[in-house]
Amino acid sequence: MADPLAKALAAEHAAVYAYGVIGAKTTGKLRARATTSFDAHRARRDQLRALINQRGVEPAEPAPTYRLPFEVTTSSDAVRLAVVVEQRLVTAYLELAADADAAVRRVAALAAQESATRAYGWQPAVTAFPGMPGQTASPAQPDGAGEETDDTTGDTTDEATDGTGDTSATTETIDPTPIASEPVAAQ
Amino acid sequence: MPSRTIYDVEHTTGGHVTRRALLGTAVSGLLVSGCSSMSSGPAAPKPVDPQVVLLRSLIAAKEQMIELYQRGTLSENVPASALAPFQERHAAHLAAFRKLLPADAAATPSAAGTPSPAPTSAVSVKKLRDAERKAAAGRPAQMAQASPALSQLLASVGACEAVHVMALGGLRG
Repeated sequence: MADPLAKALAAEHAAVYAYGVIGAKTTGKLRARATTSFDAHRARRDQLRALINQRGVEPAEPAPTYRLPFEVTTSSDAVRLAVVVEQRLVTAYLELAADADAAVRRVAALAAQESATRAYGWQPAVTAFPGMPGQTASPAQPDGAGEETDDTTGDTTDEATDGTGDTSATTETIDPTPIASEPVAAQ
Repeated sequence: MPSRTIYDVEHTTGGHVTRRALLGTAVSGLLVSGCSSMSSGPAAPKPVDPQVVLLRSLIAAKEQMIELYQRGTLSENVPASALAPFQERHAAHLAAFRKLLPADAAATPSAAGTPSPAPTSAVSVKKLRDAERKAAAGRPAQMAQASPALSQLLASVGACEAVHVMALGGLRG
């Protein structure tokens, strides 16, 4: 089965895909944030590809399409998806943080911090141990960094920060501690 | 045709992180190293486990961070209630670090968690933010010396501290 480096790459592939959807469902500042995030994840994806290549392994290519954990039809859905994507990337990078190579650990540490702060930017909530299972997010400070999300309905707070997302639109269970991203099976 | 969601989990791989497994691995590893050093005889000076040294420094730094927040609550510009959640998360980090310290190492003066004197001077939110930024920035270097389990814990703690930098930006004072 895939090692943590491959899992992190798979998660970044999924994030790039997801941000394409998020960008399509948002406007204004949210869309700008989605675009910035999209670019950041492409950069991390390429970095992970290079690290995998250095180990003499062919990095996996992205799947043609991915099945989202819930239906994304509104900007509020898009924000919720962004939070889920970032939180799960933090978990993937925590796993990578145990790598024997200090340089890879550094990448994992920085990427985990970036994803955690990006998640906060989408939805200001804080946990003591981001990326670890069983974390309950504290509400944001009154005027925190998430003010740009105010054109969403704000109804995503409780759902998106518990790490589970809304699974009602899918037929499969979303585990609260996922790491891997899986593409839609070959058509 | 079966399809999988974007974030289906591979339950059978055992690859995902759990705090219990993470902390348990680290504790057992440290205990084993402690036990093996006990058999080396009383005359020989016991080499200090580098992980213990690292943990002691992490604990000391967290204690300083918590003390800094206590001083932050003295600021007239920020209500203490606004800083309390930050302190609580740092206290959780401190507890996690202490849990990884072997029992015999925990008894040493540097790791005993001696109570600090009551804070006397207030610090600004900016200073707290700078401290958080510095702490987060230092995690990668610490991870290079850490056991795999401690490295994972540090990555998570650093992510929390990085979020704190952003969250404190929403406070005034």
